Amino acid sequence: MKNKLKILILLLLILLAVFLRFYKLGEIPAGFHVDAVSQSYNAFSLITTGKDRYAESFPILFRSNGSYQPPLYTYLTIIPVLILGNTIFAAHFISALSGSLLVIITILFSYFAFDKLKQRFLFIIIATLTIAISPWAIFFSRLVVEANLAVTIFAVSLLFFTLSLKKPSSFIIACLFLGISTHAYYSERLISVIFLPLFLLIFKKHFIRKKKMVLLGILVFLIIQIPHLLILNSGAFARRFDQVGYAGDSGNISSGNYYFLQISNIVKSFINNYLTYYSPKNLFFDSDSEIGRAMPGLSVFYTWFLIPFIFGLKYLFKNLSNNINKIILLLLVITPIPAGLTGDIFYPLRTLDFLYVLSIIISLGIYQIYQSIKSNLVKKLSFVLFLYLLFSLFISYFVLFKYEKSDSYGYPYLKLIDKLEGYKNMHVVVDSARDTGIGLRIAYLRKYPAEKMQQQLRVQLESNYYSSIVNNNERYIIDNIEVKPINWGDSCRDNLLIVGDVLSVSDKNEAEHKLTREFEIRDLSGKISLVGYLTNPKDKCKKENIIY
Amino acid sequence: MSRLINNDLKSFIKYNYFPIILFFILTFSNFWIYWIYEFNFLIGEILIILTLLLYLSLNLKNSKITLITFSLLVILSLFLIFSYFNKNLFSISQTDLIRTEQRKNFYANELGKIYRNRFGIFYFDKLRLNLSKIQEAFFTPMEWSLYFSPRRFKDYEKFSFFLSPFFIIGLLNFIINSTKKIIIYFFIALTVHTFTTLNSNVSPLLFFPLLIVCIDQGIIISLRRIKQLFHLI
Repeated sequence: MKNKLKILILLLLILLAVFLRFYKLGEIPAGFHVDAVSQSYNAFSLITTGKDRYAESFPILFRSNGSYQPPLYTYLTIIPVLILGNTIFAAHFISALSGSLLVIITILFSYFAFDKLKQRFLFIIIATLTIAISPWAIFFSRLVVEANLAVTIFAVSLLFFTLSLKKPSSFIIACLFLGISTHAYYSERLISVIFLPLFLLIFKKHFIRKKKMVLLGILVFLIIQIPHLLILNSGAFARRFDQVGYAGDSGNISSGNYYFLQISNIVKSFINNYLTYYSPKNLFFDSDSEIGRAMPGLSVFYTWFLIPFIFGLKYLFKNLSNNINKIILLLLVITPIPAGLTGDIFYPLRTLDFLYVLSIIISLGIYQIYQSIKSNLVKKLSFVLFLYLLFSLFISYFVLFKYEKSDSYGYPYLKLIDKLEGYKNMHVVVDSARDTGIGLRIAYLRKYPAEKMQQQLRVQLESNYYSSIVNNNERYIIDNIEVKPINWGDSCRDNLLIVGDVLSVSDKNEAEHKLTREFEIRDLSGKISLVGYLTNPKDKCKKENIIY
Repeated sequence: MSRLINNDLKSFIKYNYFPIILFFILTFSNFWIYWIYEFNFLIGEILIILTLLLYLSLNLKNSKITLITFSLLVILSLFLIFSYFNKNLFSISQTDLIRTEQRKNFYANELGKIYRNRFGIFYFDKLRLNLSKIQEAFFTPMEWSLYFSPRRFKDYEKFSFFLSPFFIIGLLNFIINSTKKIIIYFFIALTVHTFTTLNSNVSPLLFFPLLIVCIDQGIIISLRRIKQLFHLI
């Protein structure tokens, strides 16, 4: 095959990947998730003031309602927000771009790492296509998730680690990217400190005479970890692990004071959670409604990928003398460890590195199957299967996911922002009991000045910036809109509109506080999501004479 | 024929004391087999015989034993399909019905004429739903927690939790070596499970022999590796 044709094919595949990641990016997912809005408003705040929304100058971790988001995504989001303005598309841009870059990195990785394959170009096409159309890769590329940026950086480091076996100077660059990936997402912090020594141990023969190079690489990695060391004892560093882990959870570990039983239960929980990531049911069949998992009707991989996965595993184990297979096997074992340490059962968001490794194994399997097929007709039929996979992806994501998940992603609040344009002469209270992102959504999309927001939020900090003690009931005042949990004393206020979700105001509350239903906002599936009520202080509060 | 089997068996027993003892310990030291006995004593007995036959057919290169194993598997499969056929597999529940009705609007909005025709309606409203149900039944046995998680069944796991790594090692070994008998057994068991319904304490019945041989194989491989390691040290 001529080189020009090869390049054309690869360009087409990259275009397909870019299309699947950027098509209607501002509209699907329908809404603006609380984590996404937190990152975007911080980026906007950094652009205009050089500080985040709590008035902290260039933080190491972003406090963000106590989740302490790793900083890289937010800092990179400055660029699209600066160029494209305060839009949902700008907020999602870095993730979609990372997902597209991952496809390009896969091409390079397949080219350099699998040079011993007979038909290397065929494998490159298969691996590129697998990453380009895999449900997990598209799903997370279209969400504002730091993990998607992290997997791309991790894949770059993987590429250089592979190259370092031939050209040891690449080891330093590999360590550089591995170090950077720890600032992109939590899982990479643990994966990197397990992977690096094991990689050196497995390939010690390659590096035995390149000690200087190894030391330099490790030094680069350690230098990049300095920001983490600075906040090691602050509470923020381990806050996320405390939130999602089970090691200190007496609810799960209910074995009294017996140290041995506690350890045994932790080990059991770990093995149980760890193994769920290898469950074919979870990987190839189980679709789920949870935000951290997958789209309706599809799992993280297509069901049919199970067959090439088995073939790929077989190839991997049969050719363990290959260096690249050793690396893949090592990653296959260690990448689900961070997720295994958390209490959630199968949470793919925390294992994107693992899913990337599985995609490579699946690609190897497809390559093996394709090579063993002799009939040209069957080979051509595989194109039909590819089209069917794309079709099922379209139905699951661009149709069902869009409609069925619009409520979870805060779509009704976007409609509310438009609706409130007509209530500028009234005071509005929006209930924030079940969604902490409402105030920031309004602030980001209305470009509410960051200085004003910092003044509001800085005083609400109940502890120092990196503390593990966090105020979960932040109150936002954006022009005439106040975002806070509902206080029924407000119902005696005149000219007031109260907005809440369907759980905020019961029928009993409505009658008791003499509220008048003003409007309803539905999500895309047609379900009532938000309700606006006008207060009637003259009616309700005349006896108490406390109208204000 | 019986002499041939006898000779093979005798020599196998003579040189494999430990694996045989291990096999019997594994077969009877789990809760699952007793729950199966509780459910149906005869099925439990047949399953023990099937497990033993599968184990022997993997260890002895004897086509007669393989033939007997798979004949017994087919008989048990037919019995299970006829006795416990999953009548709900093709019926639509109230929840499915509500979801299907709701999705009709989504498809119509987004797909237009692709949905609004006879084939489109058949595919989206009927075929996709049924395929999904079959797939769900098909994939259910492929979840480790079904066998090793203590949370779902009577507060105990079917197999001791700490056997799960050995199961994976054994399974990987069969995958690497493309053990045809295991692959065929696996697909028959999966198919039978897809079309039958049994209570969750005993289901998926036919996977019991598979679990035993995989765990057994996993332990033996691990012990061999440890032995090699000690030799090296």
